[in-house]
Amino acid sequence: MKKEDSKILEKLGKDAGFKVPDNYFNDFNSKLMESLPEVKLTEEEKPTLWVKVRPFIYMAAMFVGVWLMMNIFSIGNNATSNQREAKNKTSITHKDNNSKEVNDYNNTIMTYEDSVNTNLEKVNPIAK
Amino acid sequence: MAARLKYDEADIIDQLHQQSTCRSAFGRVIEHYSEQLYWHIRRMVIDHDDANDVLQNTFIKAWTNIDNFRGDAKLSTWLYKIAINESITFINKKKVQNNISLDDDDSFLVNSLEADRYFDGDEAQLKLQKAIATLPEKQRLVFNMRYYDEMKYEEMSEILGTSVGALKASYHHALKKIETFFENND
Repeated sequence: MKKEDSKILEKLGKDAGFKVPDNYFNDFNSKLMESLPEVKLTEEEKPTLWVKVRPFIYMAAMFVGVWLMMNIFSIGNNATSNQREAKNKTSITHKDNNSKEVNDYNNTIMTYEDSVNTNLEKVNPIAK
Repeated sequence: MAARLKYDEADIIDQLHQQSTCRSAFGRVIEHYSEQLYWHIRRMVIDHDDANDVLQNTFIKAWTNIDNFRGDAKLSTWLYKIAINESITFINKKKVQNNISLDDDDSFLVNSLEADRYFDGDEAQLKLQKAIATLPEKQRLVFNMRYYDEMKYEEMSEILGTSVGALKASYHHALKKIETFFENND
């Protein structure tokens, strides 16, 4: 700080030449304490449980909302894909059923032909 | 003699906000700050009895408004602000009582300094007080806080609400004016 002070001030120093009565500060402090009026502090309102947990509940509700929305979308998607799968499955079953019926039919025909042939052999053994 | 308790500002602020401890905590605030605030006020109002009244008003104002002090700023900053406002209000009242324009400097305060029983300064010290009294109020404040209280510009900035750069400029101007006063009154 000396750098910024002038030469005049350097010569004078920091003593302003003021003084106070003896024991002034001790007397002042005790007199002032006696004269201080009563002060009633306003009690700080304690936050209720609801006020404390409210932000967490709001946040939880938000996450639940997001989760629900995601589920609704995925249910929609699942329903479409299920329908598609069901469709595919039905056509496959149809195909399966068709081929089964054809096989059964073929088997029946073959069994019928065999029995006809057996009967013919019995009637006319030369015919073989 | 009772051992002095260590002054812990955070602890004191906490106690100031509790009904059961606020009074005793404020007693410790007075004990801690009364001397430094007194000298700051004394350099502004010059007379001891006036400084005594202003200091008392400062602490009473702080006490009655203690509920509004939230501890966002330092206690010393808050008390200095109150002390400065009280000092300026007092000087302005005195100017009105003495039919002096509020725009005039505070030289009238030093007129009776020589006769003051609580001033034992020599001629050079008296001259310096006269020189300081010719400064505009803000420069006077800045000069006293920097030169006598050796306060940092950053702290002064918080108290006076002025930028550090402006305070430095203010102090520089004050020094120049004091030098000129000494040159002209040799």
